[in-house]
Amino acid sequence: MADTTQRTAPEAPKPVPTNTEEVKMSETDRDFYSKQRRSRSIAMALALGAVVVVFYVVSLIQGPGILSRPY
Amino acid sequence: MSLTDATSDAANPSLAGPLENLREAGLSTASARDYINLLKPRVMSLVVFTALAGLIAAPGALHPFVALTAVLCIAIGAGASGALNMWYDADIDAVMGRTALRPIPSGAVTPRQALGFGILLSVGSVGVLGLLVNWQSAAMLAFTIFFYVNIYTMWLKRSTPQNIVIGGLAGAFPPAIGWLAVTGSLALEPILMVLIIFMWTPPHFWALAILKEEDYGRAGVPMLPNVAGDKVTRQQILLYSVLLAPLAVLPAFLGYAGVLYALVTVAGGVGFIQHALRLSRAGDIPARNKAAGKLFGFSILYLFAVFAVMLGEDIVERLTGFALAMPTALTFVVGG
Repeated sequence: MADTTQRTAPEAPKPVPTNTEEVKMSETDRDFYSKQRRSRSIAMALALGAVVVVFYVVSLIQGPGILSRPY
Repeated sequence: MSLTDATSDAANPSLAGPLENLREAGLSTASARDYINLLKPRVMSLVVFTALAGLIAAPGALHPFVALTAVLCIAIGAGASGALNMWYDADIDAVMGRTALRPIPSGAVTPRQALGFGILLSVGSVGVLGLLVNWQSAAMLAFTIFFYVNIYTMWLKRSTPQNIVIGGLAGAFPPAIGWLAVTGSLALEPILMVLIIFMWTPPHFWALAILKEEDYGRAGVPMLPNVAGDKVTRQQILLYSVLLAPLAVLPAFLGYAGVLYALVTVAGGVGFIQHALRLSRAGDIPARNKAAGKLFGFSILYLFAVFAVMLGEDIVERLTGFALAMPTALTFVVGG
């Protein structure tokens, strides 16, 4: 017996935009989004910079034997 | 939680509409502050403080910058476990008034972002601590994160009223990590520090659980007041307070701390037991809640005072060589 019930195709997942230009945003949205993104970028830059400084200074303190441990 | 801790959109309801549009478009609306809130900064400050106490008390010398690196790694490791805890408990946090404004339930950070952030910081903090300080302390930090996330958050928290008793160990480990960063091995002194925080945790959290009983009930978290009732909880608080008070004094009598520490812990211990007694005898609900609130506040002050004096005595001794030690007749010699 033929299936008379209508089948709908599963909804395809919504593609995530790769470029913020693809998303329609009001001026307020865009300002807010940029501000949030800037704060994340600054925090990430500071964190990465801190890691570099920490590795550099500890390397100077511990000397060339920094990676050779007795344990 | 104060408004200053609130995440960006929760603190500014006028942005809720535009934020929804941005989130639906798959764009992150989290600020750096939202990610900082994921690290539970208040818990982190306690971890830093107690880890520093262990680090300073440990015999031996560590270059100040390496010590700073160790404390930073321990703090970030603690923050990472907080982020992973928020990722797993997002459903509970959403229905509890105390936690509803956290970054995930408020929608500022997605669970996936929190998970990625937590894993990245866990691996990073353990790796850096191991590479730059030593692998013993790194292993202990890794175990602490594992214990807090897997044993406490994923298993105990939702399954037993003893959740914070056993899970409290994770919050008690930082002094041992600090000690390990200097010496590479454990001794009785850091174990005592761990035990003090371990014994302090149940009365501290159960006082809060009494105040937030409805919240925990709504979230389905089996805290002791919800499962065993108010009377049993108050008895248990008193029991742990009576055990904590002499335990906290013990380092002075074992020669690990001085007279000032002994005085502060004796006075603090008496105060702690008094608050617990008042709570156990409180009659009606308002009186009970008032006593529980006072005990909760006092417990924070108590732990801060205990570790501040311990830290202060060690710093003074290191800088000046002066230590106001307990009279020899009152101390018990342990080991060599």
